[in-house]
Amino acid sequence: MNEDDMIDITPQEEQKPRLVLMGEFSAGKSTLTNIILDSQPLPMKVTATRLPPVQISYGAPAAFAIGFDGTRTQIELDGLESVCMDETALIEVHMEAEALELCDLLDMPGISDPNMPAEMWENVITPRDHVIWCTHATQAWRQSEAAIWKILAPQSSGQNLLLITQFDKLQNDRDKMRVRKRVEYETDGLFDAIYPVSLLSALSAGEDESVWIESGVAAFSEHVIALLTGAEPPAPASDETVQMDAPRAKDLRHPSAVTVPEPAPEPEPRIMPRRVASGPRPAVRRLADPEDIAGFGS
Amino acid sequence: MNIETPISTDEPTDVVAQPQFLTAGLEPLEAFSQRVEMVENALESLEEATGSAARRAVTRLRKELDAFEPAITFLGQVKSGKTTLVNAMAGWSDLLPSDVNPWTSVITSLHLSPGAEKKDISARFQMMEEDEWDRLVHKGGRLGELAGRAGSESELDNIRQQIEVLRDKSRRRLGRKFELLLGQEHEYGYFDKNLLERYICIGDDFYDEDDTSGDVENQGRFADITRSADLFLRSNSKPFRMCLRDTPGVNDTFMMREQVTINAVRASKLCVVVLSAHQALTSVDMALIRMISSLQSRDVIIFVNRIDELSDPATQIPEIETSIRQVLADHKGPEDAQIVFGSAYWANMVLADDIKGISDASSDALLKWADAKDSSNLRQRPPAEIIWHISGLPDLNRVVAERIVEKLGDPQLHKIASSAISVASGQQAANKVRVEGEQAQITMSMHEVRSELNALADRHRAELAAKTAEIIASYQARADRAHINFIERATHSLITHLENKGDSKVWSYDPTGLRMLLKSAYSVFAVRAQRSAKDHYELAVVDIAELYFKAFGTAVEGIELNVPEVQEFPAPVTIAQTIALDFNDSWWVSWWRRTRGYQAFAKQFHALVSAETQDFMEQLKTVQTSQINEQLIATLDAFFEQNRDIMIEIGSSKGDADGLQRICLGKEESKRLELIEGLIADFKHHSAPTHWEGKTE
Repeated sequence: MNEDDMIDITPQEEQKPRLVLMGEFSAGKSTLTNIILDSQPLPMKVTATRLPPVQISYGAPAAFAIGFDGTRTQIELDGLESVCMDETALIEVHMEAEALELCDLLDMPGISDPNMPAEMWENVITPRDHVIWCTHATQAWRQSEAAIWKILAPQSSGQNLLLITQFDKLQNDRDKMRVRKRVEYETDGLFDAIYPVSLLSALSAGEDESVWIESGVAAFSEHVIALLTGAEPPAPASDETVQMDAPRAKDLRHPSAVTVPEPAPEPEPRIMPRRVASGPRPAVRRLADPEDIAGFGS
Repeated sequence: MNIETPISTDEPTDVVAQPQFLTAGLEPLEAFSQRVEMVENALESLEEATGSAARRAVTRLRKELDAFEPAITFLGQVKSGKTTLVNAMAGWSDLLPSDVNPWTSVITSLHLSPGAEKKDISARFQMMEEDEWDRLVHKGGRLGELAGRAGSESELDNIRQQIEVLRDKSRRRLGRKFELLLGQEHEYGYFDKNLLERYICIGDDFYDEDDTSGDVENQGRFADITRSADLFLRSNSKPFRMCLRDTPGVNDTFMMREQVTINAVRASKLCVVVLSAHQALTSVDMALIRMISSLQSRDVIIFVNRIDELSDPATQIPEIETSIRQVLADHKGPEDAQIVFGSAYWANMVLADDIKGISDASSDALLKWADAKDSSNLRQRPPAEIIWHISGLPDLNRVVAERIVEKLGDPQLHKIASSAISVASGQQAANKVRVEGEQAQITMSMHEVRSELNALADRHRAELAAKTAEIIASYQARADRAHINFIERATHSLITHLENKGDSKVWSYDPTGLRMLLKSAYSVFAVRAQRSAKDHYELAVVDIAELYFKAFGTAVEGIELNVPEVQEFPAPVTIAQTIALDFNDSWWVSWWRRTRGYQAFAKQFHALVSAETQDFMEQLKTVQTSQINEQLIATLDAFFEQNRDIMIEIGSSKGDADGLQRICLGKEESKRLELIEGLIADFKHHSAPTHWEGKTE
């Protein structure tokens, strides 16, 4: 499949910039897509999502499966996973999400998935693309990622960002600092900025501004908005973009105990959703007293 | 010559007293340990009851049993939690240092033996040899070779640079000592966190070189030039001695470490592949599993670690298991591999006596998983014990213990017990000669017996070698045919692809077919070689038995000789060795891009695949078969050796002046015979031997 197959399936008046989400499978790409879109069109699973590349652009809600032979079949929006992997080159989704007024999104399947053919990642990147690479904090930046990015990076002319996802899985500030330092060192010169984020906490932030900011997704969104609107992107100085002293996971549930940084100036509201309006966060049970555990299963 | 002879007289590190529940799951090993003890006791009695020549044979058996230490190797991707899991398995939460960044740089073997003593702790570190360095620098390891051959010069340079930087850094840090350190072995009478970090931890490479804050700590660090570490300690939660082997992660951006680990797979009979729950079974894991199992699925155990990081373990774990099984099935992996889910983090919090310190999100997952897992039988137990069970460690212990006993322990015990039966039966005959004295019709001198036995040994050795050589030759021919056919088919497929689709679409060809063909050639070879060896051993036993009778007459009636067991052949692990065609990502694609023109494609491809497969063909066809040949001959030789000892024993007891006196002490002698008879019964209990009844006429 070459660039034309991938890109020019639907004629568009004018090509918007496109955000291409890449990374190992289960690194949070679909979750990130859902955060950006402020809704949940993509399934989020703990195992590899069996979907071809999904391209999402602005339009009346609809979904299409594009075959390797170029055929275009309308499919159910909530039945994306039912498409046949062997026949489908791309899924096209149209939505009326605010973010899509600025850009298109391409959610790529994860690398290192034994079920995905290697040529999936060839010729994906086009001049209008910015790549958002997701790497999982506890196993960040492995050789499988480094090797493929080494090939893809020269093909990109956009700004590429590295997200260290599930950053809240690291247990303390020192660990967070050291993982970030190592990733910075190993990816030196390969990305325009690195953002540690906690996507799940951003997803459940609701109206809680401080959770949204602490998740790291706020700073990342700001960068992306600047990038897409042609504004000056925030200085990629590492100390600025990276929240070294991000509050510990524990404090997330006690926002009042955390010093909330000045909220970033509101971007134009229709440009980019600030957060996903979702239901209340799931209650979290804690092992406050070890005796709690005795007597479960009854 | 060591520059530092750091034997310390420091107090050994404390061993924490451990709760009883830590042995949960190890019951099969406990039972095995009791069987070993019985055999040990019987061997000891036999040693006392035998004459000096046969005693040597028994002593050899005792040493062999003493040296038996089952080993489990833990493998997995970088940061999947191998070290944390090894610590939990060892029952000592902070034994080996672990970190949020890749930290283990050396294959570290923990030798655990039962007992709570704080003594007997020691450590041994082996440094790289000079030529290992040279090889790594000049050849860049296996991946480097691959990269170079596929035309991806930059990757080879990359590895070279990594190694050069590492070596330079070590040289700067260690100064003049650097050259002298290579090849050395350092021994300590203790170990602690600092010592281990010096030898086996990567350290923070990513800090600025000029940053002096870390320099003091870093001085004298040997981790970059250490090849292996062996730590010896006691653990009262282990019913039998064992070795837990921790390895550096694969898929590390520092590719040399991956090479170190891949080399360790070859020496490991039992492997636990550690996956991370948040990303089950990637293509790298899959390659690792295929390499290890080489299709003997029983030897791979999969531990899915880090379930403590799942948001909803109760629904996610079954989902992950289904996905893993599906991938194993789809990609010809070991479908029935045992999969255990758990959290080394929880286990270590129990060991550290810090269950209140478990983070909130993790406690939430723990309680959800506890609800889902049927643990009602544990309801009345202390929280620590409940969490220990939920951590999956008892499940993993059980699977590991079963494998140890079944695959390594019992076969070893059978072998030793069978040999002991032969020796003991010989003793009966020796005693009989002694007891019946002059009545035995001895027709040969001891000298004649020995030379005839030697002649028998030479003849059988030559026959076995000739037959084995024939079988090897036919196997090699078959493997070559498979190889040639594969290359032809692949090249043909490549040309067809180029004709139909041109060179803009990357073509790939699955080397699974070649592996299957080679594996089946190897199994045919193994079956034939084993059968032939068994036949030859049987013929040798018949001849030896005849010799016994010729030499010692009716006195040896009833002596039992076991046909030596043909040992299991090593699995053809090299088949799974990664070749260019397996890399359907980065550099294969770059090879494709760099190679232009159909002619060039086909020609270069042919050369590439021939060169790629040459190494493992060589391993499979020549190296491995000659090892097998040597092993078969060695078993035969050992058998002759053993019988030579027994014959000398029998021979030297006749005509012995004391022997006549002992006839008078008939009571004591019959007691002895009774004892030996009892021992034979004991050994039979522990062996599944093939008996051969001594010929009478």
